[in-house]
Amino acid sequence: MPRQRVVVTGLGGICSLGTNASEIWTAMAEGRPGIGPIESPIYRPTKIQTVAEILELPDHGISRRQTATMDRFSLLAVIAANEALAQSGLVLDEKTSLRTGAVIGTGVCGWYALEKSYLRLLVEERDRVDVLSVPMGMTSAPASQVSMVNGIRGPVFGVTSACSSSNHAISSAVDLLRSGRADVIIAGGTEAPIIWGILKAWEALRVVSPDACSPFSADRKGLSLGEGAGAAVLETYESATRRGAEILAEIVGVGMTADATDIVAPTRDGPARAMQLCLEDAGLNREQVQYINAHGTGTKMNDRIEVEAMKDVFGDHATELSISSTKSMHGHCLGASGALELIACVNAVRHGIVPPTINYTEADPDCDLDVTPNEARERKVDVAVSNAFAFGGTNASVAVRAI
Amino acid sequence: MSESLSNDIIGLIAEHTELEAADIKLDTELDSLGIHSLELVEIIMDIEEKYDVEIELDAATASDSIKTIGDIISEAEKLVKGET
Repeated sequence: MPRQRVVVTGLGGICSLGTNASEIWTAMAEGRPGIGPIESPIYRPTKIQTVAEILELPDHGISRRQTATMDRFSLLAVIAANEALAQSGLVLDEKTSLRTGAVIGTGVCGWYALEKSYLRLLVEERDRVDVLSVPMGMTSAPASQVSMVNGIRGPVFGVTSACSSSNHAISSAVDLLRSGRADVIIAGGTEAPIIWGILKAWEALRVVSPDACSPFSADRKGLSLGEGAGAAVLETYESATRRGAEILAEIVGVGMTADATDIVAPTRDGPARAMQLCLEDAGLNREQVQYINAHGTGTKMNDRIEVEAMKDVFGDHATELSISSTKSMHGHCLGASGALELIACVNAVRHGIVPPTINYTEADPDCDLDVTPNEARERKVDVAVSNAFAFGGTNASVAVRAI
Repeated sequence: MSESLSNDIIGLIAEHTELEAADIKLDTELDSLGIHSLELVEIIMDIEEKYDVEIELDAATASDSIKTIGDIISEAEKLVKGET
């Protein structure tokens, strides 16, 4: 029996660039910066003064009874998932809800609940934390909340692999659909890290840029933390065509590997194998790929090694690729990255526009490929590959093809 | 029913739900305030902490036994009176 094809029938997103997927794509295509001075209330100031934050939530229409049980990362996930579901036109009834699932990645957890608990215990010296601490903080909460708000009753679980969490969630969803366990999966990722404890943790790592995030530029100084969520309605081709849904793009392949070396330093081999396996899974030659949405965090080492890995996989074709890191605009949204970057890839193949890497000022001989500096490029894109290479050496690449 | 106790409890509920205290009456159903059952447990625990009492209730069944604002207050009142 031939393998099920997996297609995208809805997209949703929220991050510093916008509160829905089309606003985010427009900002990406215009090369608009979404990173600026921190405005969110933080318990005590940290050295991290520049972030990509969501200054105002949209009117989401989710009931107070439901939002009262959600940490911020869950709320962002539900906002993105609801948008994606609405676009897909999927009606969740007695029957379809059983064949629909939700797989949401997150790199951290519901830290607002955690931080509130510690502040209560240690600062306020109270002896009891909020009764909702466990259900709000758990890493699977976003997937459960997406399921509860929409009545999704098939496979529902969280996925975690630090900054690759979204791509692993998308890959898991693809496998669930191919294996016939569901007809539709809401897949994506979410993160809400603009909070004291997480900022202090990233401050300690000393990989955060003091100002702009400028991936692949010789003067790059590190990553910028961002918050957000992205979601896609992934569906078997058969299900999408049966119900007459508009198909936005196809998820044609995924590849997952691990470095198995260091908890922070990446290897060249792990990322290269993830891209290679992704192409093999998709049944594509390397020459068929036009765009790579890079992991491109903006740290010295990540960007150099990612470029080396791309050369290993794409050989002579590497110089023909358009590459960009949209993290230069929406920041590094950790576990939400891959889902937000899927918005870039799906729209790149739909509209023939490669979003740029902004803040690029100086060529780096270590990153001597076409990184689409500062301005979007019009180009027919048949296949886009989205990379995610995380701390802990967990790598996942996803290939998107025009339909 | 002690007026200061019920005012205190209504104050705690108002704080928790961002509602006006004046809009919360004894016969107000918790359902109509849009309170999740676990928020209800949290409110009850705030009351416990403030009055140093322990209300017998578990998180999973709270919404079955307590339906109105008056129910919360009378539960708390029984215990507070017992203490004094």
